[in-house]
Amino acid sequence: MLEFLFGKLNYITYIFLMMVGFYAMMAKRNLVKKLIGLNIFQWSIILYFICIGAKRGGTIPIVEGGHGATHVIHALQYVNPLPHVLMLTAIVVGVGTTGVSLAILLMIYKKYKTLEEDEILGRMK
Amino acid sequence: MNFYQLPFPITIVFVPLLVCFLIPVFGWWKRTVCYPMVVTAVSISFISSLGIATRVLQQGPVQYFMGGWQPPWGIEFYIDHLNAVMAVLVTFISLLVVIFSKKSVEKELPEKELPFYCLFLLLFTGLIGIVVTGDMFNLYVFLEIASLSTYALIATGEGRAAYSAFKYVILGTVGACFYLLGVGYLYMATGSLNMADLAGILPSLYGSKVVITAFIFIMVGVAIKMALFPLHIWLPDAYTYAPSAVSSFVAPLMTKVGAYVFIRILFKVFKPEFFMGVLHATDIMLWFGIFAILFGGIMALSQTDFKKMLCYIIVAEIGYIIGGIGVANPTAVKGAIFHILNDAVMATCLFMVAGMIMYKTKGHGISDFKAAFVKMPYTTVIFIAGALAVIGVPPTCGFFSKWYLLLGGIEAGQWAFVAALLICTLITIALFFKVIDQGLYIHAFKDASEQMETHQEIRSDDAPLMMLIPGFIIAAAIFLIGIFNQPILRGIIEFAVPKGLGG
Amino acid sequence: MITELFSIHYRPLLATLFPLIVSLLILSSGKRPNLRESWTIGGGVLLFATVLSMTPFVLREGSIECSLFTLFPGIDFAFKVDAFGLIFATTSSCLWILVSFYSIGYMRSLKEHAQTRYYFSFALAILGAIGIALSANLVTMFLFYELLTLSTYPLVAHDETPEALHAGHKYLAYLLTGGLFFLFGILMTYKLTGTTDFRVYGIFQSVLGSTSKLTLQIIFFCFLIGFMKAAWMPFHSWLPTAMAAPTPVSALLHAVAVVKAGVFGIIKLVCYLFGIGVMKELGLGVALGFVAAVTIIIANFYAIGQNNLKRLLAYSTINQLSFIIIGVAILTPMSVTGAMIHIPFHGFMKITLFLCAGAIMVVTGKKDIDQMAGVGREMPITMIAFIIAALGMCGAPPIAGFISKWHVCLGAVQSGQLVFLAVILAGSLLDVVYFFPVIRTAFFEKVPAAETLGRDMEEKIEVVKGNIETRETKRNLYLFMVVPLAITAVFSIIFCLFPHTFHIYDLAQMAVKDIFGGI
Repeated sequence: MLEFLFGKLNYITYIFLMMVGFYAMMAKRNLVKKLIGLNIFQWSIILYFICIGAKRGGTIPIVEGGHGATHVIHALQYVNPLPHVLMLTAIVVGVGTTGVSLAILLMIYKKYKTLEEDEILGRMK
Repeated sequence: MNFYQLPFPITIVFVPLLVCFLIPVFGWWKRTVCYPMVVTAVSISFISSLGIATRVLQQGPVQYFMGGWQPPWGIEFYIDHLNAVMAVLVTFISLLVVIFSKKSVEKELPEKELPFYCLFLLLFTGLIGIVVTGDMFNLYVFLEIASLSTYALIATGEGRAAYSAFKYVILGTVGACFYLLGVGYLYMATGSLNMADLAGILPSLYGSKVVITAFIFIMVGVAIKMALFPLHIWLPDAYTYAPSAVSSFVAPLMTKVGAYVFIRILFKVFKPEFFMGVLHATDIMLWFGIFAILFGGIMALSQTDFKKMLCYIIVAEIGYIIGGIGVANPTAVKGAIFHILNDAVMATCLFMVAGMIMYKTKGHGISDFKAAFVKMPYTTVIFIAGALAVIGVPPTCGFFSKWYLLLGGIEAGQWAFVAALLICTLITIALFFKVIDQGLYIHAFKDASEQMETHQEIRSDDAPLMMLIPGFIIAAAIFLIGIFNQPILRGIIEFAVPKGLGG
Repeated sequence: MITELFSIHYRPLLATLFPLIVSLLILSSGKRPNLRESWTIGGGVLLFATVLSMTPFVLREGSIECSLFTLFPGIDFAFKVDAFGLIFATTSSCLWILVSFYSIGYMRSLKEHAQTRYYFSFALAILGAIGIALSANLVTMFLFYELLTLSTYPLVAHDETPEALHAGHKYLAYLLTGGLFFLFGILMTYKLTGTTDFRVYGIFQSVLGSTSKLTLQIIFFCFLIGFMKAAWMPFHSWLPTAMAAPTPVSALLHAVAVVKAGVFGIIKLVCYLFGIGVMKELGLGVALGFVAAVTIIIANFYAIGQNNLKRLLAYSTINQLSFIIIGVAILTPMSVTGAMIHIPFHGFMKITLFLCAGAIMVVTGKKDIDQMAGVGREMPITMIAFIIAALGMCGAPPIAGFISKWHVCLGAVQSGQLVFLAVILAGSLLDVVYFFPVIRTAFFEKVPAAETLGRDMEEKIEVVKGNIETRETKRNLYLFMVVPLAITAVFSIIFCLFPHTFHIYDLAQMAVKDIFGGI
């Protein structure tokens, strides 16, 4: 049991983070807190991807000598670069989402003068 | 360069993207130049999609490797029959909506045309990218491009738009994240992100829990984007309060592109044997479809706002498509894919009508249709064409896709699905005749103060020509697609139906 | 290509194009009433001529087939002009002309609103009727069937009063639900047999062995519900409620197009879809006859209690339609002939009755029978036409109704189905019972003292409408109403004496010969 827990620690962590984010999105009344929850949610998935690629004893996936390198490359010794690349994109997407959401929250604040969900619903009628 | 060397797959996606970045630059210099640029960009995409479609029909699937990198290492654009028809559909509807939107944007979003068109092109890029790509992660990127633009565009609307947009942000991002998670699991299991490659690797892994988890995550994510009941909650508010041009664009396309992704992943990445044999998921899909149909229909009945009514009809239509896939025989799947095409056209038509009514009456409730037949006769004609299509009266396209869905349901003995479709038809009849009554019968709905007016005093004051012409083209398309459904089905859609479905 | 359109092969397409073009022309000339009306009349004459021109060809060759394009694998959008279809087409096209003349008189006398919408919907309704008459398969027929329902909706709700709207909604609800059952039946047929064509021996023989009898019977009843337009009980109540429509619309509904499309469909269902042999196998003739018999009896009893003239006529129509259905359900050559010829005969007689009712309403403003005292003396031509048509309904010679009743009764006797014979005779007797009070009130009752009967008809109209018009216009408008109803009454007599007018009898015989050919 303990072995399972420690063996899969990264997965448990990301699931825990994801649920924290999910909880924040669902249960919190304040819209900014929801947004933070969304961010945690997204970031947990990014964490998950990164830890897929991780390897015990692997080094960063940068080839010495760059393009002109002539020595043999043992892929096994490098950490998998693909998830890193994918996650760079995902981080950018996350940043974009946060930006758009904050802009929308600004609009909501201007209109309703509050960022609490129940108050907004009350003022909408 | 001869026809076959023209880089259509590139122009279809990157021309709009490029123009999107150029618009703020050129617009800052001279405002009026931005609209022609938008129209040009979308037209180029439309022509590219036609070019791709011709190539696919003549030679088979078209592939384009980004940067020359071969799959599965590089990203490729892979367009087969299913894609080709979706690409033509998306670009065609976009072109019509762009022409339609000029007047609408001028009225509803004054002074904001520049950012509007910039976001519009970004959204268009995202949608068309989803349609043509052959790589799972690339699809996520385009999905997010489209979604972010949608959130922003919806938030520019009136009233509750900002709050609805925020709700959509939360739900939509959760959906996209689920999709990403699923792709991650797939990558973990197979090491590949290319759709064709995955299709080759996955069959041996069907029993694996990782693959099943991946499938479920991906499907739930796409279901949120597609507004499948019960994950449709974001849809009614978001599309109702968005500006007319935005809802005419997003409502028909976003959910249908989501349905396309659903079909592609279900049938091309995971073969039919997976969800039929391993997961036995067809019944679940079927029942989700049935509930979506009934729920959408019943909720639509209680609406007094025309656009909200249309949104619930969209929920019901997605139910048709998913239910058709859940029936899982060739006739029903053919009907479902054809229905994607038809529903996009019908929804565009109806949302355009809502836009025209909004242009003239500043509102989009059912009571804004009062005396529409006399005041705005052409709009009413376009509306009746769309209404007949949703009800499923021949010879509109709606009848033909309903035929195939019903026939498929009967062949498979899925009487609940058949009953749900017929009940929903009845409900849509009641819905649309409620609206047609408002428009057609002038005397019946006048309140006391208006009783004094005689018939002659109501003059015709229709929507501007720039809004009417796309409306007419769409209405004509509704009938033409219906009448010529055989060539479309046999030439294109039948190729998209996977082999291996139960007969 | 244009000359090809006029060839005999494409004549059915031409026949459907006329009402379509007329409808569009009507829409465009809404501001010029005389032009608009002349499109209607002109289109009607051309349509009638086209239909008549196809008759000699069909009598010689059997049918005209014209397939336009494919709708589904195995189903084309196609026309097939056969003898039976021509009977219905002739009826509709001829009566369109007469009803249009009448409409001009009626609508203009009452200064009705939305006349353009009225004539437009009327033309589309005729398009639907002609399309149904000439269609080659179920799907084409379904297309025109729904067109008929949708185009008659603005006509039923024309007055736009709450009562009229309610009538319209009820009309739509009943008929569109029926349409869904129709669609379901078509789908089941297509799934079982792979085709939906109308063929002389039906298309179900091949599957008789492999499908359960119950399935086929259920399909039959789905179709029957689909043909709710034939107003068989218990799905008949849309028809009396639809009497809220203006009189020419009621005439259209009852005589020209809508209910006739329903019985036409049922006859096609029995003879050309299931086929006489299959019907006998499945025992459906008796079932259908039972439904029709119940309808006849109950409708007659409803009619006896009616005070509103139009509602009385509505129940009379329900009764007569089920008479046609019984004729078909008896499944003998004689009875089916009688059923087929009753479509035009009843059409002419019923339209006479309705046009009379409308004329009475326009001139005297009266809708209820007990108020119509002395109308016979005031409007002699109208009431004589009424008497002629009423006698025909009861089946008395020398009016056309006699011939069709004779044939059906003979068929019943020949096949030994004496129960149906009894029902028909009882129905005819009850017909007399409810028509007689109308005639008696109109001719033989004294006018109450409050009414002054000595006034001219023209003055009466002025009082009723409260505006001043010239005598000339009044007289002309009245003529527009009286002449058509006189013509239909005269035709009712002519049909009895010369059943070969418009080749009706020949067409019926030819159709019956084909259907019963192998049996």
